[in-house]
Amino acid sequence: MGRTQPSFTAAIDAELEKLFRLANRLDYPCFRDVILEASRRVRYFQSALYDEVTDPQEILMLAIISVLAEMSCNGRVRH
Amino acid sequence: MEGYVIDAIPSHKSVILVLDNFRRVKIRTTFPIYVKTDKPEIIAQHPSVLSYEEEMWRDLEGRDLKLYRFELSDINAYNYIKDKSREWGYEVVNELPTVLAQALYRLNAYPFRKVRVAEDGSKVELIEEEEGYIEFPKIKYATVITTDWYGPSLKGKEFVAKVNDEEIRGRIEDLDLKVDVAECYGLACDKVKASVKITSKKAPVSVKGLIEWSLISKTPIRELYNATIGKALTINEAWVAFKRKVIVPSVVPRVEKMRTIEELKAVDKGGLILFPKLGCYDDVYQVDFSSMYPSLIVKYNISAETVDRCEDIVTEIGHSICLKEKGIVPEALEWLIKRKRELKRVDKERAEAIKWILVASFGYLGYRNSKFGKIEAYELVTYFARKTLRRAIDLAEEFGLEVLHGIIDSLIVRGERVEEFVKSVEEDTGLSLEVEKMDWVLFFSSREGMPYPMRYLGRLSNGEMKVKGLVRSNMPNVIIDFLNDVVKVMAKARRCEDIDLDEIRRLRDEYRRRIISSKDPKDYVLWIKDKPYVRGVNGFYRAYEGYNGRDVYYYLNYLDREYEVILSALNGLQVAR
Repeated sequence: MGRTQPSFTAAIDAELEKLFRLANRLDYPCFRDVILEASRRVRYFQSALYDEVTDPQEILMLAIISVLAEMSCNGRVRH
Repeated sequence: MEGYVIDAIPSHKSVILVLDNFRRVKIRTTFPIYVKTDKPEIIAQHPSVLSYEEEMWRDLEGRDLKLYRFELSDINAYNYIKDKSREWGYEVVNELPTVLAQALYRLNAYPFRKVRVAEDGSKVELIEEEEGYIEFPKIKYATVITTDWYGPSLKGKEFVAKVNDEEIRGRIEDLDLKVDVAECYGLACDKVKASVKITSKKAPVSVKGLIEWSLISKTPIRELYNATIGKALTINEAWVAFKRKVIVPSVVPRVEKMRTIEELKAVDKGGLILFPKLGCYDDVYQVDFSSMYPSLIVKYNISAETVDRCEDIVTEIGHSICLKEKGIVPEALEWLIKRKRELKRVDKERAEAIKWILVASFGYLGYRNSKFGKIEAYELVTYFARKTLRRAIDLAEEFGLEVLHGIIDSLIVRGERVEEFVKSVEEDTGLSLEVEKMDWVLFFSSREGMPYPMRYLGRLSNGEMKVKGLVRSNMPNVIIDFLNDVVKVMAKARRCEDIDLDEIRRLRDEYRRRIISSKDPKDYVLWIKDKPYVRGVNGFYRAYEGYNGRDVYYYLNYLDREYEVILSALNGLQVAR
């Protein structure tokens, strides 16, 4: 390829790492649960958005929103 | 005299054709070179220039240009004239196809084709005329390697020779081989007599594959074995240009158009990836687009000279394609795709050699030194590939199929209406698909437990296993053996639930004992960048220094890690029904 871009997946993982570090510093167990569940879903959001113009933060935020939306539907995070 | 052209050796005002079985015949010829210049008389002063003629050619942008074709008595003069080009102010072009290949082309003496040569060397006739010539030349070819205790070695005392399709083994002093083309390394080369000896190779194909490259490129094998795949591809494209009288420049001053970072973000992407749904699934189908990228290049006429020339096809990524004239790249690839399809039925090894060229064809479009490429053309291919796979996914859902994994040109699906789905995708996209039924497929995760593309094991309905991302070539031999045995155990299972975890555990225990007490030092060898190593108690050392013990814990831990990878996939086995 003519030019080199960093791995998109690695960029998402770096964002995820940042949120895990944040969760570990803050004493909010529910927040950590949400991030953990979002991390399990993030690859599927990545797949669905692969051919759209997007960025790693946006994908991660959408994964988090999906977890929160499900909590509001079901009253709890479902693993 | 009749025979297959094995090699061609340029000589003064002639070329010596080497036919099969070491026969030689001298053919009178001259060697053409093409130069862009206003002062042809300067070059004509060279004593090897016999004559020159003015010709009208076109450049890649379609402009008419005047060239001079010089006929040389001696091919070495070509290098001298080329070296002086900057100093004397002219440009040598059409260097691909090579000067020798062009000379042979004019003589009808195509490499590895059967010819009839007049005894006085005045005339060469091709015996098989047609372009799609499939039959493999009736010649002798061989690959000979020497081996030592750890595997292939330049100084090994044993040899393994593959002569045509027959394998011969023995001690090096007993080796006595005469073939037309030989790939040989180390001491073995001294014991082999061949018209062409390949002693180093950049091409990732076998000697038979190289012969196929030589056949399709109409270029002697000695000019190809140290060539990259890109060069083999470029020669094929250059022939298309050459026959159309389009100049093949030596340097392509192509500049990418200006774009914003947002525009780049939207287009600078690879093919579509759908991460796998982890778990084991029964009754699945792998649906692959055959030669997807080359087929898209042909379908949409993607070539450096057709992109952004006119607006017959306008895309949302800002590039357009012109359909007024067939592109050079699509024309070259169309023939190669057809040849690969035909060869696949009769000779997989040669089909594989063509496949390598087709695989490189897309990447080479984006390579900055590519003669017929352009980054915008590259981006168009990935754009159409993403659209095509997404369309296939949408159609799969319309037919009630579940898409378990997708990557670039391949989908793994399950459901009832696969046949209808395949027909519909072929009609919709105009590309052809290949379908393989699997009894089951098991998707592995990454070490972090995340879904990971192209890491799976699947059992095909004929009992063979498809293994992706499990066994790596840089693993120790004993670990490779272990994983291959695990795959054999899993191959016995007809359904996900039949996979025998206890047998895999027993295998692990057996391999632990083997690591602790093995008498065969080859078990501990691992190859890194073509060099054999063993892990000793003081770290890694090179195997060709001799076996000097091993760090047993390194191998035991390695085994445990690989066992864990399999176990975690199987323990988390969600047999999806």
